[in-house]
Amino acid sequence: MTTTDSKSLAASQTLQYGNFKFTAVAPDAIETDMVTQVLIVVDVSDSVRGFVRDLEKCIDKIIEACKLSPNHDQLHIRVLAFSDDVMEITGFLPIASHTTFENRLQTYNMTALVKATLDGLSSIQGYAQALKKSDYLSNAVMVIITDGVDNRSQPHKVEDIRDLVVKMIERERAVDHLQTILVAVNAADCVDYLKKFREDAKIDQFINLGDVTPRKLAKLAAFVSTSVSSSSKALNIGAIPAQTNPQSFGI
Amino acid sequence: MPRADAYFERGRQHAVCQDYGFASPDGDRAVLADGCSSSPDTDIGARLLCRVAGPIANPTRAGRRIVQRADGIREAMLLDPRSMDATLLCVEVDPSEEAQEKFGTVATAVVWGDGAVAARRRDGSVIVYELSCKDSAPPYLSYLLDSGRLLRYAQSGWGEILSKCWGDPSADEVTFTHSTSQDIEKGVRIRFESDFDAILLFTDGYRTGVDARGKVVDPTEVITEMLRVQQGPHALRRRFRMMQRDRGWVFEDDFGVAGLTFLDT
Repeated sequence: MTTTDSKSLAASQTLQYGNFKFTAVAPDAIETDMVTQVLIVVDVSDSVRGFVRDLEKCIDKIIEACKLSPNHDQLHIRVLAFSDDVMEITGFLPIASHTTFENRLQTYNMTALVKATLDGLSSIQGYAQALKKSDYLSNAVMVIITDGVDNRSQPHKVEDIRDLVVKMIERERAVDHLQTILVAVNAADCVDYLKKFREDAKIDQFINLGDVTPRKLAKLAAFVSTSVSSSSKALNIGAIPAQTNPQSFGI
Repeated sequence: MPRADAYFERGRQHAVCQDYGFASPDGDRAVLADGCSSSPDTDIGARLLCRVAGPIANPTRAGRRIVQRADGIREAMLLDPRSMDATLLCVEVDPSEEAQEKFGTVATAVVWGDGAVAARRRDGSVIVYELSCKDSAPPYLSYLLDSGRLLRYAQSGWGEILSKCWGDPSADEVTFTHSTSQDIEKGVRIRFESDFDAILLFTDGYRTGVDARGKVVDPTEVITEMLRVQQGPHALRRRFRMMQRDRGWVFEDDFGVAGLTFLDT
């Protein structure tokens, strides 16, 4: 059982957007005046069993690096894991509430990639709407880490993701800016599928990490935390965040 | 339980922000000041007035004491006496339980100079008092410190304050003159006795909004937007930023707002 800040947990509430529920700190319990939502969506299908602990360390590294960001107090992080279904490991909590993800990810069989992406985006939109009602500006960074092809998301389709992204960005506009990153790990057999998935789902960036090594995951963590830091800085100055170049991190 | 909050931001045409606001940690009062652009160091003067008014007993009845104490600090800093030229606005909760029981929210706002005071009732209706001065020459508390300046102010025909009210059918448009020391010391007092859940003070910067096309924004729209203030920390800053994001407005003059919310009661 991971310890998290009891005050934040006490102030958490369950919200819903569409058919997806999520937990988040109630807006009137937030102590900053704006929020950068960070969503980490990680594949825990059976095929990642060999490196799931490394994935946990990667998440830990992302969070530790984000804690050093100048605007760390406005970062609210949610972690989803997906295999047969989608599980909320933590709801949107201020970064200070997070400790370690060691031994928190359990692998199962399948890969509900589409449903997990939809769940993540829905929670971002739902939280942004709740925040906006209480006058909180917000933006978001979502990172999806996966090694495989979706085989469990019916009836959800990749077109649902695209439609939701368009709705979020062009119509509802509750979130100031949304940045999405798809990371393929150990995905040599399905890189083409994931590239197409990225295009069809209107995901901003695609990174093919290749074979997983702790060093590469550390570089990924540095890239993600820099993207998050850039996003939170942009929110503070009312700008659109510059896209971080993964190549400058050697990935 | 009331909460006090204050937010101020430099206007597009100013090099230094001459507005300042102070919110009492106890939530029972909020103070706002706007330094005169044509006098030196009034950004410091505005701060001193607010920081003195913040903890002082009965600030809404202490205009002279506030400016005298602030001026004492000014003197120690070797600043020009004109650095005290600033409008000052204050709102304070009436702590009397009897009054609270009888009237609900009871608070008094005082304006020494110009600006606006706006309140939102729990049913969503609003009442706003806009105070503007002839030739934009407000009667500063600092004139109480120099009889020569006070005399020149009165002789110039200034001191005329136009008070417009909307949201209260019984309140008329009123013009009165504050050019004597007694009147200036008293300020314009507005008492709120009803079911209000927010009372906000504004410096005159709210009148200088411009939209994305360069068109002047209706000041009453600015006040209406700010009265949508929510609860929680930094509520006024959040409201201001959301207003700017949604409406695309920028303000030429410094924007200052401070006040009390009673949203948790």
